[in-house]
Amino acid sequence: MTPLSTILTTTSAALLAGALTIAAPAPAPVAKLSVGAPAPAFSLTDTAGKTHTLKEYEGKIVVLEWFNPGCPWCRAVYDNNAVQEMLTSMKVGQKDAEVVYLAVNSTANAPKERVIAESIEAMKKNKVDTVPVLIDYDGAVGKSYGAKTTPHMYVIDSSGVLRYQGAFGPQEDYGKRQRGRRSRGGDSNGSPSGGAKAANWVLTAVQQIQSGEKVAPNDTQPWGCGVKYAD
Amino acid sequence: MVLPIWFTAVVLANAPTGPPVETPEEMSGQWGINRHTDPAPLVSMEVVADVASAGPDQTFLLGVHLSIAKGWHIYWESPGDSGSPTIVDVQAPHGWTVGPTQYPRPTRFTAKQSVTWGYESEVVLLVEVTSPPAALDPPQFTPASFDVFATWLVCKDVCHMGDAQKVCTVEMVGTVTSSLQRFARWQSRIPRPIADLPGAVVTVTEGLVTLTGTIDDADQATFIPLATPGVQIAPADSTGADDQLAMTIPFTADEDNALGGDLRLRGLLAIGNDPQGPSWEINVELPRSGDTQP
Repeated sequence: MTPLSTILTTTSAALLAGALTIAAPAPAPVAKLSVGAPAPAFSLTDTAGKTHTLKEYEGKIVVLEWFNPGCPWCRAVYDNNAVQEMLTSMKVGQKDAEVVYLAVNSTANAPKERVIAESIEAMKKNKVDTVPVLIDYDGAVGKSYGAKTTPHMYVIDSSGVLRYQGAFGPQEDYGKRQRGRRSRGGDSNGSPSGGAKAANWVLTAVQQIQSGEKVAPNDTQPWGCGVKYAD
Repeated sequence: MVLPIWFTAVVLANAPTGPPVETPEEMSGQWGINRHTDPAPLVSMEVVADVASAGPDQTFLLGVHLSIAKGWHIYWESPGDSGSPTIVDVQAPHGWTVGPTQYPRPTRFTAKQSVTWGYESEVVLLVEVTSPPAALDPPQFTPASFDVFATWLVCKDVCHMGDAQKVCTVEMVGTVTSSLQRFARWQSRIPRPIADLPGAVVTVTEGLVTLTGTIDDADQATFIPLATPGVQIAPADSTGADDQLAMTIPFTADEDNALGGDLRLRGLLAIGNDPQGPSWEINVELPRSGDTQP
């Protein structure tokens, strides 16, 4: 027969475990970062194994794109060449470039090795070799930035201050571009049939920073898939 | 068995147009993981008019019926923390007018880090169209064809982009016809103007919109924010007793982010959590810096 003390100890432990389980808090919502505040520091490794920190890019304008190869909107901004055109305009990857462009992948709904492999495959498919994909598997950096969607864009000036956050541009512009690829031909209701350029608030922000102007807009509603955080 | 004429008309009217539909993989743009391989579409669309035929200078509804695969959802006009809105674009014949898309009250979806708003199972988005006066449409009995294009993001634990294009044709006759009341269930879910709420008063002070009014179940009132450029809305606070509602909605407004438009606070006053429950739309202009009054 089991001693009473053992029964009580076991029961107490079970009750305590249950209480702790019940009391476990839900994941905290991702808090929004304020434009004008210092951008959070980070140190992340890219898919090639190189470590990148915000501090090492001090003196440059840093553009961060929250990225998930599994998100169709992330694919759309590359398929439409929106990112590639922006990289060219910003002279990313060129000698003495003032702008650094980094993709950050906080996806955690697949094994980390697969997340890395998919990121490499995606950038190769879109012929973008000037954009490192930083892996944020535990989501700490994403949450520090308040990243909610993929894509979700941030522009940090050379002093490390956040100057823009939000969408690439008006979602309806990027949606229209997608529609243009499937249209019967010709315009409809004024939608561009795949040729007109969509407004790009990220590029505008970079150009305004470079020319010393106020950044406007500086905070827009991001669109896209939810970031697939670990918890 | 003889099929009803309206059924036949609906079938013929929803004949797809344009190039062949891409495979789900192509439509979804998935690169690798989470590829949708089931050939059944996650969202299918039909378009039906609320009239069997229409006359000159007549207003009626087009219903864009979206059927959504089990476990998946699409988004409201203001998705929330993530997602992208379901968009309907209607091209009408010359001389017709097309109203804005009317979205039924959405369902709330919560995920680990986010709250989003949208629809599951099915939804009918409504678009009001008005025919021209007879003098503008000779010969006045030409059937009217509406080219309807819709786009959406459909999500479960992963997301896929989708779209569809359908033509809905309505026969034209010489006199105004009656509504078939096809969409009554969905019309009841369209938010009513806040002015319809008895005694509703909306006031704007610095950083705060206050709403008072008389409403059944005032203690179950909630606010569903609708994102607008330049306006950030904080969680609303409300009290309700004896059917008297008092709700305060904190906000911050920044003209630099208004994208050239007005600063407006928009959202739904909703009762309870059931999307079938009543709701009213609040749409109030906010003062710009230097304005002396809203």
